[in-house]
Amino acid sequence: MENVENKQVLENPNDQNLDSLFVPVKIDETESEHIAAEPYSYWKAVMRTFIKRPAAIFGTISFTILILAIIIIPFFAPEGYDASNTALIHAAPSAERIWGSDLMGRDLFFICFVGLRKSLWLALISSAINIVVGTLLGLAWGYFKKLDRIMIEVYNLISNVPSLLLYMLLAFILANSFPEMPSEAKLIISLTCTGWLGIALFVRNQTLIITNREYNVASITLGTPAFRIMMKNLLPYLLPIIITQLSLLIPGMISSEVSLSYFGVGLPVTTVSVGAVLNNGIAQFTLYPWELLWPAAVLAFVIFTFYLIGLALSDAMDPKKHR
Amino acid sequence: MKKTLKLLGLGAILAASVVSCGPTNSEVDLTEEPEICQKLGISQKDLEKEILGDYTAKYNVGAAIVDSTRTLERYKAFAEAEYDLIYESAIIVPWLSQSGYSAAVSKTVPYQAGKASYGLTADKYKNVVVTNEAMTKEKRAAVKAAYDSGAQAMPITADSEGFISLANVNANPVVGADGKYTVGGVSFDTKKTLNVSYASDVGKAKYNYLTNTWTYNSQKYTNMVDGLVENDKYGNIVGAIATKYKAVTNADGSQTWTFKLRNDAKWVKNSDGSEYGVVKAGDFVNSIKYVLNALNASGTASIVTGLLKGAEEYNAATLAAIEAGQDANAVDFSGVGAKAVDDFTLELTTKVETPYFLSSLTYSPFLPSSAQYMAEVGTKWGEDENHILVNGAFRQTETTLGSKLVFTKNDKYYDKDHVYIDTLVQKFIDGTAGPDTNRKRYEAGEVDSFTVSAKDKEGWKTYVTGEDGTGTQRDPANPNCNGILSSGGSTYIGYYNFIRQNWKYNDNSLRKTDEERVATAQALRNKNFRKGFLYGLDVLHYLSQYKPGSEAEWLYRSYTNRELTYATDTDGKSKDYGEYVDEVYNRKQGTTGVSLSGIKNAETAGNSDPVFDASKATKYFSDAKKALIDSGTLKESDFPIKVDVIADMEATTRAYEEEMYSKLETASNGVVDIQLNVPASDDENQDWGSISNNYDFSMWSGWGPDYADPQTFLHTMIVGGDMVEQLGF
Amino acid sequence: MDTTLKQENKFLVALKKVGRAFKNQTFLYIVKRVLSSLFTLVLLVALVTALIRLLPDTKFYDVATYKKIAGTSKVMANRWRSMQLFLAGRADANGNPVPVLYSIGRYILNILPYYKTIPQSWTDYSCTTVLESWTGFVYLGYSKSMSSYVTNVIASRMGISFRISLYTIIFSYLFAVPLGIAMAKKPGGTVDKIGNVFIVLNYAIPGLVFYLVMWDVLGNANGAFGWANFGLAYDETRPLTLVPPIFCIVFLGIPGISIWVRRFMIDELSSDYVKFARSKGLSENRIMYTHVLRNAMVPLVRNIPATFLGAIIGSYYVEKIWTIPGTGLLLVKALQGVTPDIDLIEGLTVIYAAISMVSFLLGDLITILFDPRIKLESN
Repeated sequence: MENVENKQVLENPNDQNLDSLFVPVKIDETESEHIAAEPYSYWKAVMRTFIKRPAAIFGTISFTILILAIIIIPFFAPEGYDASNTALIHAAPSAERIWGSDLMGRDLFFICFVGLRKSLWLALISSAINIVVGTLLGLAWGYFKKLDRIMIEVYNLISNVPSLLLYMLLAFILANSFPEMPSEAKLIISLTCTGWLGIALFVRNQTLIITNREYNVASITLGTPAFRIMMKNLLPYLLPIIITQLSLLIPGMISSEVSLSYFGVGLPVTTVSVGAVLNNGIAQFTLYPWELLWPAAVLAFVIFTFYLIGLALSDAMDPKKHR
Repeated sequence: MKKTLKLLGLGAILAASVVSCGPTNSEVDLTEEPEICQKLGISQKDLEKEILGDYTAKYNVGAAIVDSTRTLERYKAFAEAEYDLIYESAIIVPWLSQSGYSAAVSKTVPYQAGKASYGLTADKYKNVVVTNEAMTKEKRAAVKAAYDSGAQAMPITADSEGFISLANVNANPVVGADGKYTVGGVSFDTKKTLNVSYASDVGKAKYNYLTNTWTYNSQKYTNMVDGLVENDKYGNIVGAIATKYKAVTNADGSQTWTFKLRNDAKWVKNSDGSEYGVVKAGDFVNSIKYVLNALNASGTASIVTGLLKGAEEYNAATLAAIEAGQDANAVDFSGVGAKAVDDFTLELTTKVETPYFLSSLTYSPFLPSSAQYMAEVGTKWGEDENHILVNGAFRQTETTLGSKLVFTKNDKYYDKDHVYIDTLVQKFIDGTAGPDTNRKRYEAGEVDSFTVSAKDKEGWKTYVTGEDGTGTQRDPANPNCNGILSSGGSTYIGYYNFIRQNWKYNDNSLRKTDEERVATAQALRNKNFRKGFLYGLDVLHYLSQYKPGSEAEWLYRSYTNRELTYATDTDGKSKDYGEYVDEVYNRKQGTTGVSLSGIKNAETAGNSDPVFDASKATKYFSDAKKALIDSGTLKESDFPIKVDVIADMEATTRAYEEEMYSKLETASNGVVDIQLNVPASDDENQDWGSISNNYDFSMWSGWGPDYADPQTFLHTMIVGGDMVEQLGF
Repeated sequence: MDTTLKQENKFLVALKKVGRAFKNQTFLYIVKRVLSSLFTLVLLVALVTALIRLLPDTKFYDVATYKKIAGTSKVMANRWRSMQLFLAGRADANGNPVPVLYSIGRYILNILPYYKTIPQSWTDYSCTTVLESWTGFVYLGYSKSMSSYVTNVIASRMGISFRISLYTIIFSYLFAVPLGIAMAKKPGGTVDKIGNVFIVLNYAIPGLVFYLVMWDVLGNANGAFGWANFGLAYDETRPLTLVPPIFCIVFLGIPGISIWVRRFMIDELSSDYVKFARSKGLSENRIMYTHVLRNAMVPLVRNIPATFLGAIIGSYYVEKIWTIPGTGLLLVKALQGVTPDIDLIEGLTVIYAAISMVSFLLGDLITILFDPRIKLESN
């Protein structure tokens, strides 16, 4: 016997309603082109990785403190803080003068920070010049094989000349040929005359590595002019590395300024700059240790800040760490 | 001896750079008058006479008196000249004397070594006795008592041939068999090694003692080469290689000094101490010939040409020979007053009667040198310690520059019984060290003596003032510390540049226009203008930078150093030459009891500096301004006159300098504007100060005595004197 | 049988060996490097000589003396000046200035190793008869400020710098390598964090300040370390006086080495063979010390000759503060005297350049030795 009810169900004209339960999906040609994952932005990834690092947090905090200190503290400098005052020479730290006085009777606390402004400013300018010149030259150096040979020789040559000899000769030439030049300009020239070499070598090494990568080989084969390759292909890759170098270079410039002052080819002794103040403190160390220790602490703090940021940046900018 | 040294007690001067502003073209044109002179309308020679003439006239009065019996007259005449130099012609502003008390802790027995206020004796280590422990006050007092009471006068009676003995009647006792040194009833355990520290390595022309004028080097070779005479512990001249002498005045006014030499003084080689020969009279003649030969360009030639007969002529003859292209060595030497009569008899003839001749023989051109050895080593003679011969107490056996020097006793020395040290070790102390480093080294046992620095607060408290603060430099609290009076040494002065030829500035805002340069030159010619400086500079405040708390000890307002030489006054008392100058000062200024020596003045008059008086300065400056305007030389718009001063490179000292000069400016009431020109390096500093004379007024320089007579100082400032180069002439 | 055929001529065998040696890549490489270094050396000499020539003549004689003599006789003054310049090597015996190329050529001839005689002193300043000469192979000049031949100066002072550099290398690697390893074991762990903090703080300290502070703290007889009697200055009779300077250099050098050790170790630890070794069940320590360390040390070891020989050049600050008579002070002293000591400056430059080239060559050779991946084949 047949189940009349089932047949009735099956032969129910309401079959067509089942179809209405299904909605046809649109056919989108471009669907396959769309990536569902979030787009990868390099700099956003850098930011994310950067923030996670404890080094970066410390670095940013100390950097902020530094900037605030440089801006705010000199604002409060009392009248005559940088005038020599024989009555207060070598005064120990007291309520009036938090860090004491230096060998000329100036207020050490304010001198340090006003000097820090100047030193940082000089360091920035010199580093910028070094980086720009070094990068451009390094790119060309690594890219053109013929230039490579010559530059390697030049590098070997210059790096073997004792740097002290170069500085003294330079100081001498500048003093004789351009006596009108302010000593800050002379210092910048001294710091930049061979500073770019190290950067150039570093950039050259990196350039050599990436010139052989496929995308560059492709560009070269396609006939892109060298300059465009350097600017559009190589430079963006190098940028993070260069930035890291910059952050490490700035404190290096300040330390160089200190050494140059030590050998007498830096800024004049009475200048208000970290290098000069620190140098003055060296001779006074055994008797008036604060004259050396406080400027050294300031310098150490600056190095510390930049180094931390540099460390964190170099880690953050490494794409392999963007996970 | 011209000592343009930087003053003691400065902190480390950091490394100098090679930067030099030395003139690249150093051709000197002798025919043209300097630019300034042309603008002033007066020749260089005439200007020199104008400024220095009065003083020179007064000086000549004193210099003419050469008879040794009329010393008092001579000194009184010199005192008048000196007063004129400083307070009437106002050519210099004296301010510092290097004699004074210092608090020293040492392990050497005091009062045994040779003493002199001039020459090289002070640096000799012969007669220095080292003990195991620091000197205590009781022992020191005992030794001092023995010293004070034990002075024997030098013999003055001639023997049968007319010679006066130079034997040392005050010789020190020899070390006993038990190794102890006994004096004044006190016995000391002796030590054979002495460790001292030194701050500067040998400089150029190192061991060529015949041409060299650097102190750092003379400190070394004075221990290696003995001369005719030396000083005993009382300052008397006693014989070293000379045993007796005779002085005979000749008919033409010259004086012949004959010396008999000992025959056991040997030359040894420095490197190994092997014998080379015997010191003979010819060796002394050889030295003099070398010094006078213009070929050798000796810095000490002026001492000899000023003393010996025929020396100047020989020197000029060698010069002429060189200019003519002939051999200077062939010039006839026979006219010079230096002869070796035989191997052990030396004859020196002075131009005129020179009562102080013996004291000038302690100087280096009168040291012997072996002609044979010179021929052997040629141009290398004197280049280092191994290229000279040694006849003195020590040989320099080890040299590690920048670290240490070792001197070993010379076994073949004729007077080795009086050399109590076997090894002398000099350790280098670096510039980065502070004022307390020497003390720390002493306490660690690395050195055997040190001087307490006023800047070393902890050491000062421990050794000098003591816990209760009652001790002073003269009488320190710590039993191991003793107040030592250093006598002699240099005086430092401020002086002007009357004919300036170089105007170099590191700060362009200080540049002067031609008009301003002429204005300065004209102003400097005015005596009252200079007197304004003399009375307006508060040098005492400036000194407090170096010697805080004891500035008065070092303040000195006269040129010839105190305690250099004495003369017996009409009342029978032996007085220091400085006291005669004080008398003239009091008489002319209408004061009583004022002394130009800071310490004395503090005792008698209450304030140390009798000269500084801002109101007097104001008056002199305004007088000068009025005179200059009235005579039409300058206009009102020329004031304030810009005066360039070489600023101290040391930032600390400069603060004091600035204060001193600003006081002067205020006192001058707008007449003077002092510009402090800071040199960029040590080289530049030296260049500005002594080569290109880049200043209008400077306190850079000083003078040290060559012999025991005021002439050694006063001679420097007469027309054509030794120091007038610094004045621009 | 004719046995003569079997016995090969010994001479030919040796010659073949030499011939084969010439084909040996390492040997060729060394020869190439040495030749190019020599070429650079020659260029360097030329450069430094030219630079020194920029200094004016007035630095080589005392102008004050010149003016003094000129006051009496201009002829005499010029004679004296040309004599001083002759002794300084800037003019010939007649006072004519020496051209730069001639100076360069003469200097290069002097350093070429052949037996030669060079006059040092004459009977008088007309320089006609020679009294004393130097004989030998390599002549680096005569240092006026030190009063002896440049080779002697450097040789006598190199000893103590050598000793110090030996001690510092040993101790700094001794402390730095374990630290780096400990940090690398667990990157991001507590040891790593503490180590990083230490490194950053250490890096921030200015060297000169550290030396001064330690000089006072360690050497002061009344201070905390007075019992050890380290002293304030170097004394060769008391070896303990070397402890403060060596401690300072080692302390400041540790971060530099540790960072690299840590980095190389981490790089190695993430490589495949380590994962493989782990999966095979080897203990961490065994992996660490037997396998990883050996690979990580390769780039480190290449720096040892450079550091060692570089330390011989000496640290200026250390030698100045503790008055150690080493080579570090020499260059600065030569440059800063009233008259620059050109022989010493040039001699030092040549020696330092030679040292640095040798050390780089040695470093590369060591890398070749240790790292089998590198083959010296011409492409």
